[in-house]
Amino acid sequence: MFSRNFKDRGASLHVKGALWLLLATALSISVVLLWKAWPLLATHPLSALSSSAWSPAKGDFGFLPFIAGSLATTILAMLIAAPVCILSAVFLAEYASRRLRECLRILVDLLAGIPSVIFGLFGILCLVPLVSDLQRAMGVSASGYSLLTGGLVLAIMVMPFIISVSLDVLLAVPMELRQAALSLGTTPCETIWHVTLKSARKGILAAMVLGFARAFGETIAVMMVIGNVPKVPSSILDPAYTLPALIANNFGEMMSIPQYDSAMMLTALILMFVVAVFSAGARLILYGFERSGR
Amino acid sequence: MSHIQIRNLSVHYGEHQVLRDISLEIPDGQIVAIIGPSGCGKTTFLKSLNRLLDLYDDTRVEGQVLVDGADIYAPSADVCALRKKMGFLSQRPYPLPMSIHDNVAFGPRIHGMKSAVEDHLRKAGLWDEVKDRLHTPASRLSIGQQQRLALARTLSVEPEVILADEPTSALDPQSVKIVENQFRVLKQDYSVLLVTHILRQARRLADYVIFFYLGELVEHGPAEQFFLSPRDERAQAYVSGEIS
Amino acid sequence: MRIRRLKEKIFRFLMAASITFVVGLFTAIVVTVVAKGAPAMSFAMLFECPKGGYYLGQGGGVANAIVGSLYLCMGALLVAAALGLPAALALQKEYSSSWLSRGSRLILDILWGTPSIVYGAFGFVVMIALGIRASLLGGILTLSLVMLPILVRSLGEVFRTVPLELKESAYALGATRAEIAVAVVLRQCVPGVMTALLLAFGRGVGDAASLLFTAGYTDHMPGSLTDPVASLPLAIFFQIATPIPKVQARAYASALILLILVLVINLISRFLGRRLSRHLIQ
Repeated sequence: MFSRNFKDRGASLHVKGALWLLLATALSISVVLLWKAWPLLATHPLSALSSSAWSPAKGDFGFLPFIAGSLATTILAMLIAAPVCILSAVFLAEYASRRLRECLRILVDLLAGIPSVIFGLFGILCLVPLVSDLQRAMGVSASGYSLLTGGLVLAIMVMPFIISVSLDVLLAVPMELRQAALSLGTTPCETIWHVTLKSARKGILAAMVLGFARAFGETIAVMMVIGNVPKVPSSILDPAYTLPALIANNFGEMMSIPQYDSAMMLTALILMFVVAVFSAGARLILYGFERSGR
Repeated sequence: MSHIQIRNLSVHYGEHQVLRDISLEIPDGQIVAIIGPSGCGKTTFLKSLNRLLDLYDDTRVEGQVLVDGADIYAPSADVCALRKKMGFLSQRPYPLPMSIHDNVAFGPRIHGMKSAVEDHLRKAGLWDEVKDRLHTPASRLSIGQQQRLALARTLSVEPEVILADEPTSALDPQSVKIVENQFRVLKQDYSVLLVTHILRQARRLADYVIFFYLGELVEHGPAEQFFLSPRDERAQAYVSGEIS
Repeated sequence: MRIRRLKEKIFRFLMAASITFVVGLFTAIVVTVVAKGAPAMSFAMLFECPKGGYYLGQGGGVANAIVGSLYLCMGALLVAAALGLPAALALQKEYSSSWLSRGSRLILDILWGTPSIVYGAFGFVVMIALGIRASLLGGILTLSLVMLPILVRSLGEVFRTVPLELKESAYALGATRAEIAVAVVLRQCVPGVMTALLLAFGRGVGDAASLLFTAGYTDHMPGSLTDPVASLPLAIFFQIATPIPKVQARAYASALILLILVLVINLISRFLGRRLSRHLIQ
């Protein structure tokens, strides 16, 4: 019995230690990023950092173009993806037969697993020419590499995730609730709108919030189609630059220009902060505040 | 009140046959109890009357169900209108994700009818308990209150028949009493089909009894006659408590 | 009534359009990659390393990247599993209080959502501080950071599916937590664990952002832990950036290899999960 207890104690230490090590790693990531970003934060006031002037060689670190670029592409992506995802998830949950649903779910999962760089290739091959034609029709410079292309690629990438989570949420709505509504003589569409979707709205909202966070941090695919011009875009057809792309494109120059590395770390910190806020937000939506009943 | 006739109804879940060749006429304006051991197809029978079975994958329905002379399984049948005519009360109440008031107003609004929330809540025996909090979420009610709310909701679309699937089995004794009393009042204006596995409840409420055994319609008749002297031996065994 | 029926019809149409769009998208991506990649595919692509002048159109293939990716992912998976598996076990009720498990899940959510470029930046800083240069080791450590939250999250979910009654019957026999963890939880969860590992591997194979600064790149096969190593996503990235059509075509061929690899891993994990679950208690 003694040796069993000993093993139990040891195992307990092992697993708990692993968990704490994991949490410590998370903490150290934010600490290290903050520490490395500090020199920049200490020497530049917030107003300078949020300006649109970006020339690191001159010491100008205005992040506005990148923040604008990231926000714009992500919001555009969500606007395109949200209706498509909800409609698809509703179809899969309410109208498709079980076999069809399973088949399509597998397809959606496979889509979710496709690497970012392949989406980027698809973007270059199919979306850039499309947008280029549109630009030409509008009389604008027609490289095809623009905010719009970035938004489109991002929308495609974030769709499988949102569909998958929304589907799970919808399937969790009890069958009897739908029956209760249908027994009143509602059409399937009315039941879905007034009852099923209403019942699932928290989960679907959380899915959107998480989707937003994921889209915000997407690096490679967007970088391949967005043009990477560090100016605040004035229209959807202008090229743009996102925060993750900023880091990815410039790590080579990081060490050669003073404070450039701090700027990169600050960018990484901003990204992590945005994800943290949105993840916490999604949790809040789903589970409410700690003290409240359900 | 609608007149319901069933002719040669059979229901299959996949390979498994749940209802075998049921034929009967449901008397109007009475509380009709549908009884029998569990798993005998009572709920399936009930759900076949308002085509709720359509929602389940892999079900096959054969035969005819005539409501006011029209077969509800005909391809041209209007399912929404049928379901409006046949109110359905399930075993566990599922309040719609809205306020108490909206739960009862929802049905009429969909069908473009005038809503009479107070009327229906009174008929369900719930008005006095909720009149001060009509706009609070329905999910906060106790389960007995939720079931009465479900009854009010069912009544709000002005059905002619009320299908009730073991409506009191999840309730505490006090709520059971209240709901049973409401049924006694309701039978004046509606036909009530009540599935129950509680023999005593059937004895209390039923005017007419339908007895199912293993998917077959074994016996049916006026309640007094059924409970006093059932003809079939399976019915006798059930009534005397040998099988349950 | 007619308006209601019309609304129903419009709704159905929109839904059909949406799901067709999604399916069409998947098809378009796969068809594009296959159509552009297959013509450039050759034995050399799969089995040879880039020869001199590869990026100008000369001979060679991406074997260095294929093998490099496999090494990176296997190494990263080992590291991630070594830390992640016990950590996921620790999330169970027996080992952590509810506030610890809730707080951990929040932090895990944040880690899960953190873009891999952030891990790349972090890894880069740590590597410089430790004097490690861009290498296989650097890539493995950084990639393991990317895989960790994915792995712990799926493992945590798998462990949570073990029914309480099952554990209770083991407790009733007087077993300790550790014994139950091994004899009941892990055994019951073998298919789930395998699936989680495979899925994390699949995610790692496709990740480029974390490797940009930490694994370097080379035209040779992976050597020692301290040498830079090539990876498939980066190979694609670099090849598509050249102006030479022949090299760009090879980028598509490399993409085809990556796509097949990822799809195969995904399907295997699904199949394996189902196969291994046959003997389990539901």
